[in-house]
Amino acid sequence: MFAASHNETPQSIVSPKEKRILCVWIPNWPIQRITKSQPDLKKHPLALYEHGPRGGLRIGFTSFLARKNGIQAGIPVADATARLGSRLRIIKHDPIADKKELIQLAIQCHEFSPHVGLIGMEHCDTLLFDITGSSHLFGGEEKLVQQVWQQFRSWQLFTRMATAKSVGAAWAFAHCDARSKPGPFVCQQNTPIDLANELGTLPLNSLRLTAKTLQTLSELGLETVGQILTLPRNSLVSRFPSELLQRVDQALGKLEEPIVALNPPQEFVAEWDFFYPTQRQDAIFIAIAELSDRLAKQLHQENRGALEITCKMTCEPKSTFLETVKFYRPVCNAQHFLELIELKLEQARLPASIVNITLKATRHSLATPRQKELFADRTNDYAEEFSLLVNQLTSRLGEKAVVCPLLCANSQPELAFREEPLISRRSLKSSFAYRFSALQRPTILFPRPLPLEVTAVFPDGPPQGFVRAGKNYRITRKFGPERIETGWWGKKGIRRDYYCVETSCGAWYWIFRSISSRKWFLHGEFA
Amino acid sequence: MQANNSHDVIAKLSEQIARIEANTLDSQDAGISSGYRQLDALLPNGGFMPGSLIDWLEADRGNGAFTLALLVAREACRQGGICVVVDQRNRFYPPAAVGWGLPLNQLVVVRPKNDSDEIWALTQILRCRHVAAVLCYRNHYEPFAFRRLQLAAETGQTLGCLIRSKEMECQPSWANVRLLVSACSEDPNAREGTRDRCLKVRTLDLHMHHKVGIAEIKLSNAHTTVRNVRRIAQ
Repeated sequence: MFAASHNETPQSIVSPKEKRILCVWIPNWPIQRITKSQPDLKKHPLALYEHGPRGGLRIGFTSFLARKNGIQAGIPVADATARLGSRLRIIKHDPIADKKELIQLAIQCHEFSPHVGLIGMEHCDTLLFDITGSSHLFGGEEKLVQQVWQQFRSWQLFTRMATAKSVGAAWAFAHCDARSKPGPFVCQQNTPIDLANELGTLPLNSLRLTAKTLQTLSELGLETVGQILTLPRNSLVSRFPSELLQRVDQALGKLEEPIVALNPPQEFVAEWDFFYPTQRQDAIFIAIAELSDRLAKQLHQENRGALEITCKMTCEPKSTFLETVKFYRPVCNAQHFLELIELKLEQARLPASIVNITLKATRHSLATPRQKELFADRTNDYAEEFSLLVNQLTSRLGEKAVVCPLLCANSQPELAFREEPLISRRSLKSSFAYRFSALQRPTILFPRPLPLEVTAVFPDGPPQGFVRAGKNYRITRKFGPERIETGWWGKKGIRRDYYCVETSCGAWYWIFRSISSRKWFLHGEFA
Repeated sequence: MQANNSHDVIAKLSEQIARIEANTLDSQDAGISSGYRQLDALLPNGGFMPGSLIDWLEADRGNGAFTLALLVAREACRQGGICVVVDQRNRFYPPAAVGWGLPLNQLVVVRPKNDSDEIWALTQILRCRHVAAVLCYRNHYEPFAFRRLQLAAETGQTLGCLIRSKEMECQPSWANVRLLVSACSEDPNAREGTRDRCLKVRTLDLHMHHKVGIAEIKLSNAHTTVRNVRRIAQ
């Protein structure tokens, strides 16, 4: 599992100034990502499809079981399904999700190195760690690499790893050196000649060359890196694309190849520990006020505003109490944080005595810049007031209680609109055009239609009167019927004949007869 | 003689009270038009003043008080403010508001779960200057809460439309304007097949001594604006 160069002694110490790179390759990363989140799929042949260059769907990545059953990358999806039928699990390839999750892995690996970046030829599947001068913190380079190996194993990921003094060499050893299979490989090359010797045995695709360059070299009978290194340098420059010499120099460490490090997202946290567990409200609110102030200062320094704050209280015995406050716009105001958290806590009951309070801005974004004007526009100030109002209402009443309605393309009246929490909606625009005129729909619609006793001249005829709450209503005018039918193919379809009726006292109601049950219902009022 | 003197004193005191209350609202600015000329003529300043509360009393359910309040709110929102509907009973139907010309991007619905949350929400919303109008279907208000709403409306310069039933007519109110909405008993202009709706709006005398009167209003299906029919009496 753990291979080492023949030049290496078991406890060899790397010079702290020598550049050291750890390359972690996750073979077949798109497949491994899927099976990591859905382990059941490991038991079945699995393939990911994508759009081919000439249209049509083709297989992009296959699992080991799929390859064993003859499914190779590049074949049309139709052929693959014809071969294995329902046994083959086919999922659409999502390269964006691949990269996103790889970035998450890289951020989680910051405990091993402060500089972790991604690299990949056609798609990102390799992590690069700059471990220069830091391996002694882990007890040596071998132990560091072993820990990284264990970490990836705990994540159910199969990897191949290698270390070297350059990015190119580490990449080459991880991808193409049999010694790094299946585990980590630490390569200690004390001199450039050693490195050149190690690289010499590797095939040319370990230099990360394009397919065209590889084909040219192959036609000339060049198969290994060693053959390239024996050629005079001048001939490489004149006869081959510049890419070849560049990659050779990068692999030998002669050309610097920086790692584009991924920085972990900035955290804005403020914490308070009580000397003793307490349930006293005044002490808790003083602590929260102090924490709000600290958090606001942290956000202000980075010109950011909080969109969501979590107030976590650790109680004794071990339990936690969590409240979340959301904001309509990025806010960086300590007083506002405090007001909203107090609103939330007023309605909550603390389970036990508190020992620790942590305030964290779990979502944040750039604060909206506001330049003061000589003749200030009041509209902007009022919009800010509205944002604070939405925050207050949402904190006390809940997200689902402060909504903006949006029209839907559904004929069923109760489903003709939906509501979205205003706190998570930035734009109040609706794209669906409304097609009914003013008096065709009531301003009040009951959540559930109310059964109604209606009198008609003949069965299935228009209504002449109805009884509601023990009172008789005579219908003087009626408009309809308006037939509304939906979802005849499903279970929840409706078939109703709606009437807009005016009673003798001048009130307008919206009633309907269900065609299936022949019963009448009161659905709304034109209040 | 003494009776005349006491009557004069009472009249003077009422006048002073009316003057003081009138000063709380800027009487120089024009009010928000209701869209009906005859109704505007009955209102102080020719319209509804921002920062005031309006009692919309409906003679019966389904008489159109809420719709008229919605139309006034629509006019109030023409300058870009937001219309908020406080709907505890979850009955407000937003597509109808769209049909009456209120843009959805200026409409927010708040659904409190209980009465105390409703009063609290109303107070906060009325205080916000970006809110042009608030509509709420609620009958009973505690006097202190009602006064707080009035002060909040003045602070935020928001139009507060409180839709209540006619039984509340005898209850004390801090509303600046009280309107009783009922249906026309007979509409001589009604034509078979038309979908016009005729409403009668009567202003109730409060303490501002504005004119008491009745206006008839026809809501037409063909237009989202309303047309005046006639002003009946003063």
